[in-house]
Amino acid sequence: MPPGLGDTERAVASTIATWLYPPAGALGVSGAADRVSVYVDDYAARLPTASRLQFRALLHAMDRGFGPWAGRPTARLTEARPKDVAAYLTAWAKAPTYTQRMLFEGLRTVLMMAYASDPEVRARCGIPWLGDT
Amino acid sequence: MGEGPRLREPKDHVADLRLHCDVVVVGSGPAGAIAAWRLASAGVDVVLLEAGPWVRTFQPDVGRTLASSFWDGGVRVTRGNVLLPTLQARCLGGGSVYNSAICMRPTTGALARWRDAHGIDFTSGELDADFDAVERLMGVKPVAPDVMGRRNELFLEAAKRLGWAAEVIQRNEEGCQGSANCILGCRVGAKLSMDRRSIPEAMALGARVVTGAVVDRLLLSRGRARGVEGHLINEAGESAHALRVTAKATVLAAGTIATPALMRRSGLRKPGIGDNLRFHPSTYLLGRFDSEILPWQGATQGAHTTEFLDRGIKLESLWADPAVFSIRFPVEGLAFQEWMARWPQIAVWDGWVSGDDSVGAVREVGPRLDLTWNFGARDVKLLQETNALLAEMFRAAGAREVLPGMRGLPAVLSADDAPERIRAARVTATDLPTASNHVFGATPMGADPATAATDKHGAVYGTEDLYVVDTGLFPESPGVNPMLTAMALAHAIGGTVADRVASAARAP
Ligand SMILES: Cc1cc2nc3c(=O)[nH]c(=O)nc-3n(C[C@H](O)[C@H](O)[C@H](O)COP(=O)(O)OP(=O)(O)OC[C@H]3O[C@@H](n4cnc5c(N)ncnc54)[C@H](O)[C@@H]3O)c2cc1C
Ligand code: SF4
Repeated sequence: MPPGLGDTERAVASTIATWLYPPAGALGVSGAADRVSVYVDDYAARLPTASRLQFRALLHAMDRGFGPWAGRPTARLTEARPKDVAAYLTAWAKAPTYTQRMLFEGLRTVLMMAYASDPEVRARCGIPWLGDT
Repeated sequence: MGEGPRLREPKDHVADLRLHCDVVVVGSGPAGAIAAWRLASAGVDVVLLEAGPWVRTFQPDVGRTLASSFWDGGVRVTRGNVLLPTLQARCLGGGSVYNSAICMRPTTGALARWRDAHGIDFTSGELDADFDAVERLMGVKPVAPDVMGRRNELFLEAAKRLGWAAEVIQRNEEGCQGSANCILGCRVGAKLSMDRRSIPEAMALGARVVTGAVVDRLLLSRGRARGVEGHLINEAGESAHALRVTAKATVLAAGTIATPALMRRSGLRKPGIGDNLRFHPSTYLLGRFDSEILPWQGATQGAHTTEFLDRGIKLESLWADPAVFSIRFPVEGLAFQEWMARWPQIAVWDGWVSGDDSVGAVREVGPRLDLTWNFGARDVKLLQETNALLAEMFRAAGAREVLPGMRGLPAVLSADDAPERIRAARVTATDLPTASNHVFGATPMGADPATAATDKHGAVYGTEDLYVVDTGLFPESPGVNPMLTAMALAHAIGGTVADRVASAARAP
């Protein structure tokens, strides 16, 4: 398989997953867990080239968009305080522009596939997991 | 019968491949596989080409399944007034490998519209024998009571309470164990997808099958189709060798999107080829109950309503994977996880509309596709009403809460007034999340060569010996899930092509 994500892209995915799936949640499994970013990496590697490039570009756009949004052009999403990450990602999720909302939803779907495919998450929700069968 | 092995797969692609046959079929989904089987049954020498592999081991989760076995890695979307996600499988058997296996004959109303608006008349039972043959071959039967599961049973109970016509779904399967995993491929081999039923039978009758065979162009000469050319994909996923198949007739079954793209890339760009791209826009609602539903138990789709078919609305019980449906839960992390933990008490029911007011087009920009589709205002209203009807069902079934996923409404509604709130919402196309895996119409049959791509027999206007058999043929919605109609048409057209090839061979 070709390589999936670069280091920055992985870090962006991990930052967003940590906000979406905080460690203090009812399931007690954090999106920061390595296996979420490992899954996303593996998923990206399986995508056809054009789709993979689009996905990687979306992660970069999320990262690069943070500085202008925060009024500090060089600021990076991956280095932002949790409070700012939350505000920035909420702005994407509730964006007035349809395309922006849909882009965020697409990214959220991939991270959800990673999170919901985690055997521990499934066990805590009582959902069967086919990985071991 | 033709020479050489019956099956060539990516591991065998170590040199260029040239074949000759009576009929080459491009694409091995429900339509192509049935056409190949029908042709082989008539003693015709057939080569069936499939771009994807024969998937014998399924992935355990939805992300890897989509990325590895669907075109564009499962992230295909159309552009237009909304972004419509749509899935097309890329493997031997096409959509039948990952679909829910729902088999239903077209409504009489839909066939009457095909006749009145497009001059395609199947209203007098002309396809009955084809439907019978396909249903027999594919083992179509109602879901067995012991694998219905609570989610499907509750759906039927709700419809009964509301006085709506509903029934147990008929599917092509044998020994379904009710794992609700159809979207991941059937691990127990119960689903009779084309790789399990029809393609093996066609091969036993002499058909040759090549997987990892991507058709890039039609061979056209002096107004006739002479076969196809393309490339072979090896085990490493590289396009390593050339492919050329010459044939007396060419049957296109690459699916509604790929078939017109292939025709247009080959220079066939007349009106009708790539226009009229249609979908059944779909929706789903989540309903939370006090009691356990365990939505992952039971046949993937075991019950549906027939009550609203004449209004262009169909409601169904559904399961796929929490990874797909959890997007309906609130984004905020803590609330999200609380909802995840409630999955055992949640049922998912979906609905779709016939999409008569929504149309798009298939175009190609170099090797890439450009898909457009506009969600018509009447269909937006109809899909909103579909959401309201689903909410009525949840209320009748005793759900506490309903998650409609509509912009402008809270993520979670009380089931008590959810139908009314959904109906009262002012929505535009972008407020209603929709997706569709029922795609059809981009190479439509029709009596008028100026607007249609083919005649009633799938024969392409203006090009001899070229046929289309996939769902692209439907001039409008069949009013039901598309697979069975495509298979019956492919069966009928396969018979016609076999007759024509035989009579051409007899001609002096
Ligand atoms: C998740 C899902 C669930 C569904 N559930 C149902 C259901 O329960 N009931 C129902 O009626 N319908 C259902 N559908 C829709 C149904 O599967 C399709 O309508 C049906 O598969 C269409 O058949 P087809 O033969 O026209 O095309 P496809 O099934 O799309 O087959 C086309 C084949 O051609 C191949 N191909 C494409 N381009 C090329 C090329 N250039 N060279 C060689 N090969 C090529 C593709 O890889 C593919 O295998 C579902 C679809 C999906 C995705
Ligand atoms: S519900 Fe499960 S067992 Fe039944 S056909 Fe689908 S995947 Fe196979």
